[in-house]
Amino acid sequence: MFGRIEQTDLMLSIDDSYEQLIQREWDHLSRPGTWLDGERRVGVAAAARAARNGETARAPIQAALVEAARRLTVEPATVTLEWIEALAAEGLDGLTYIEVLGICSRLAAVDTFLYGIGQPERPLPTAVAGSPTNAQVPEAELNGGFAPTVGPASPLSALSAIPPGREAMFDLHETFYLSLPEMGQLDIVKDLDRAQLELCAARTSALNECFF
Amino acid sequence: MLRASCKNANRPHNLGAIGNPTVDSLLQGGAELLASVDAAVLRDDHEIEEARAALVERLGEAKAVRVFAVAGNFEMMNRLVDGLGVQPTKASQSIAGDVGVPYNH
Repeated sequence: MFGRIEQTDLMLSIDDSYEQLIQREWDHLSRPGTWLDGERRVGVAAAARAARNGETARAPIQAALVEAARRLTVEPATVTLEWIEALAAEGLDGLTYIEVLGICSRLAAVDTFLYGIGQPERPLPTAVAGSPTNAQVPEAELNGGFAPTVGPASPLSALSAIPPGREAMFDLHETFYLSLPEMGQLDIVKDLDRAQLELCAARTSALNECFF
Repeated sequence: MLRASCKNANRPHNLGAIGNPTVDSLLQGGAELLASVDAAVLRDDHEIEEARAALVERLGEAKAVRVFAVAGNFEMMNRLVDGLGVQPTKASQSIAGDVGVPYNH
């Protein structure tokens, strides 16, 4: 999908698990989603990158999608219910917002990883034609969060109203960090020992002003 | 989880390093790890190459890659939590002082 990445001395080598995860995420990004088609999904990703790079978004998507991508990428700690309600007034409903949240958060993960290891940003994929599924999750409702979840709002239920997005989140979580079963193992070693893993996690969260 | 994992292993640790990377975390490679996380998350073009090189020298390449992978994962998780408006647990709020990151919400 990406062609050969020109390896330089400055880049760290990564094994197949990381490379395949990125390819799965790019494939998922390019395809029609639940509420957004592939073109708008890639457009959201492009807007997110533009925001992070201090550039003007050029993706032909509605302004509410651009604004959602911007804030979720560069200042997520400032998200408020009022802001989400304002997006809804501009036509970005809660379920579509969840889909945007998934796209932007996973893109931030991949792009930060690539930056850290010294690889260039991967070109965004070409959108695959097709219609979104519009698959409703009847159990999803407002439950302590700003947007619908299945069960109480939590890190694990964050994307539960968009099951493919949630699966992609867990896929990335397991590859980059730990699987859910592994999280219960306080003495696990995954390249780093558990304490080192948690120090990375905690410092990242502190920098993002995320107190959870 | 940092505190829990260190207690489980009976290892010394200093949570203050979370809020202040100049504080010694008492973990192997802690300083290099924190410098690399900072450079990656803050997109610091001036620091990232030096931080990465120091991290590799200290911990090796595979561990260095994992540092950036974990940072990436929590870039995702932080956005999910903040984007959904999930409030921190009382346990998280109670240790805000220990980690040197005041909770002002």
